Amino acid sequence: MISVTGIGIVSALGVGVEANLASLRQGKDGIGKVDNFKTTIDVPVGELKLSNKELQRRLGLDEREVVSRTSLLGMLAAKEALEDAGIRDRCQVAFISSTTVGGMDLTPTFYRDYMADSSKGHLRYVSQHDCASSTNAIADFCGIGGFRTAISTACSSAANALMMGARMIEQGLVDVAVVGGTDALCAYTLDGFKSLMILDVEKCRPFDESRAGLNLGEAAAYIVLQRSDIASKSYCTLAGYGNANDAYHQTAVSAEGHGPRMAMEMALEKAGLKPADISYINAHGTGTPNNDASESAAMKAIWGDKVPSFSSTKSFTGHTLAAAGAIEAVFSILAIKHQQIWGNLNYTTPIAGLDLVPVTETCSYEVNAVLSNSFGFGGNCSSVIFSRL
Amino acid sequence: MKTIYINAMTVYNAEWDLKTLIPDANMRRRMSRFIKMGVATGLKCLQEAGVESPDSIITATAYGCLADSEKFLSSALASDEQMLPPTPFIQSTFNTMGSQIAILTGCHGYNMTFVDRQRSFADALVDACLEIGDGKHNVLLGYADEMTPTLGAILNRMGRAANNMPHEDCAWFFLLSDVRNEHTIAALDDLSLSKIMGYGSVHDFIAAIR
Repeated sequence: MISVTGIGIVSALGVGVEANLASLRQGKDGIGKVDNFKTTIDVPVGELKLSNKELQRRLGLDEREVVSRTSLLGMLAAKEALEDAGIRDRCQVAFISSTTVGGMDLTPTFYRDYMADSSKGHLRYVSQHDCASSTNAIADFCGIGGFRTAISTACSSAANALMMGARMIEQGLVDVAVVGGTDALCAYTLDGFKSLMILDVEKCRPFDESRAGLNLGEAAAYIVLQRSDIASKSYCTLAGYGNANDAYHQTAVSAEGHGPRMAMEMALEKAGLKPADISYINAHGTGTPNNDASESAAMKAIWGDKVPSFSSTKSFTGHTLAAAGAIEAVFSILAIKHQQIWGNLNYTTPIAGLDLVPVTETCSYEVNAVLSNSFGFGGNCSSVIFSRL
Repeated sequence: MKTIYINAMTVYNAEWDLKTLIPDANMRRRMSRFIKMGVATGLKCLQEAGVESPDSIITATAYGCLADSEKFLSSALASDEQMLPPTPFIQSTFNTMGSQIAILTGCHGYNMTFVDRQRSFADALVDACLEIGDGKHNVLLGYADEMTPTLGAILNRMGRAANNMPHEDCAWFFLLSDVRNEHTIAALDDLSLSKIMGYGSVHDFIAAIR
C-alpha cells in the first residue's frame, strides 16, 4: 500500500495548504486579471498575486538571480510537502516532477533580443527553458538526492507523475517519492490557448450549458508518497490509478469519452473498488464545450444515473496545466481529511441532454474514496483514486 | 526486475518513404521534422518487431518540439499576440510524438513522455521496466531530439557549460518485451535502477546491448 504522508500547494488561492483550504471553504475563487507580466490578451486568469522577487524573498533566495517562476512556485510547494511529511533524510528520496511550461516564462526575454541579432540575448533567460531545469532547481533547493525525472504529458502530467511514483514504490525501486507538478502562467501558454480559441472572456463555468472555455491558471503542488509500512503518518492511501490514450485527435476528446472512461475504469480496477465506492469525483472539468461533454459522457457510461457527487475546482484556480493533477490531488486528499467536498462555482444550467448537476457549494460530506481526473492534449487521460484509511 | 527482450531497435533513416509509413496526408503535413522523424521511426520499429499496436508507448526527449515552439513564439512576438495560427502551438507539446503514434496505431494503452535532458532515455527505460513488471508484453520506447539553428547558436555561446547538454538530431525506437521471439536481438536479465541510471544516454544503452 502507498500512503500520502505530506502535501504542499501554491495556487491563485494562495501559498500553502491552509490558504487554499480557506478559499475552498469560503467558495472564494482566485480568478482575476493578469498582473505579473505584460500581455495584450485580456482574459481572466488564476494568478498568484506575488511577484518573482517576493517569491524569492519568501524562499530566502537572492532576488537579483534570474529564476524561472515555474521553479519558484515548485520550490514553495515541494518544501511544504516535505516538511509536512517530516522527511529530513532526503538522500534516497525520489523526485518526480511535471511541467509543460518549464522556463518558457523567461525564454521570450532572450528571444526578443536574439531575433533582432543572433549574437544578442542574455543566456540566463534561455538556459532554464527545458523541463529538466525546474525539476533540478526544485530538487536541489529541497536537498532531494534520489532518482529524479521530469514528465510532460500536457494537462495530464501531474497525475502521471503520481502514477510513476506509485509504481516505483510498488515494484520496490524506491521507498519515498515526492511527486507532482508546477506551471507558471506565461505569455506562451496564454497565446497558445488564445490561438485555439478556448479561453473564456468571463470566469469559466465548468459543466454549465453556457460554458465557453477555460481560464488559465498557475500553480504547483507536491505530494509525498511512502510505502505504508514505513510511513509514520498518513492522510489517506493512493489506492489506484489509470493511464489510457483516447487515440482520437491531437487536441479534442472523442464525444463518448473513450479515453477518460478507460482511465477511470483502470483506476477503479487497480484500487479494487466498485464504481459505487467512489464518494466524490474531482473532475477535469476545464469549462471547454468539448471536455465537459466528453467527461460527462464517460461518467454516465460508468455510473449510469448514479454518478457520484462531482465538481471542477478549476472554477477556483483556473486550469493550471501540468500542475492541475497535483493541486486537484491535494484538494482530493483534503476532501478526505476534512470530510468536505468543494463547490463547482459559476454553475447554473445543466448541459442539454445530460442531466448531470455538479456540487455547487462546498459542504460537509462523507468522503471515503475520491477519484481525480486529468486529461490532456494528445489524448493522454489519467485518473487517480485516494482512499480513506 | 524481469528479463527484458529487445525485439526491435530502429534508428531514423532519411531515405524512408514517409508516405508509406505515415499514409495520413493531413497528419503528415502538420508534423514538424522532429515529429515526423519520431513517428516514422516508432512505426518502423513496430513493423520490424511484427507488432501492430503496442501495450504501452513511452517517449523521451531532451527538449521536445523546439522548431514548433520557436515558430509559435516568433509569430507571437511579431504579431503582438494577434491572430496566431494554432498548429505550431498544438504540435509543440512534448507528448505529441507519443500521442501521434497512439492515434496512428489505435493504441489506447499506457502513454507517457519524459523530458529530462540527457537522463530522459534512462527515465523512460525505468518506466518501460515498470510496465513489463506490471504484466505488459509489448512496450514501444523511443527517444528523439531535433537540432535547430537556434539551439546550435545557444549551445555554441554557452561554451563549456553546454558540454552536458544533449545536442543531437536523432530518433531511436525499441520494442521491449517479456517474451523472446524470432525478432529478439538482445536480452537484459540484470537490470536495476542504478544500472539503468548509469546509461547516460541512448547511445550508452545501445553500446550495452550490442
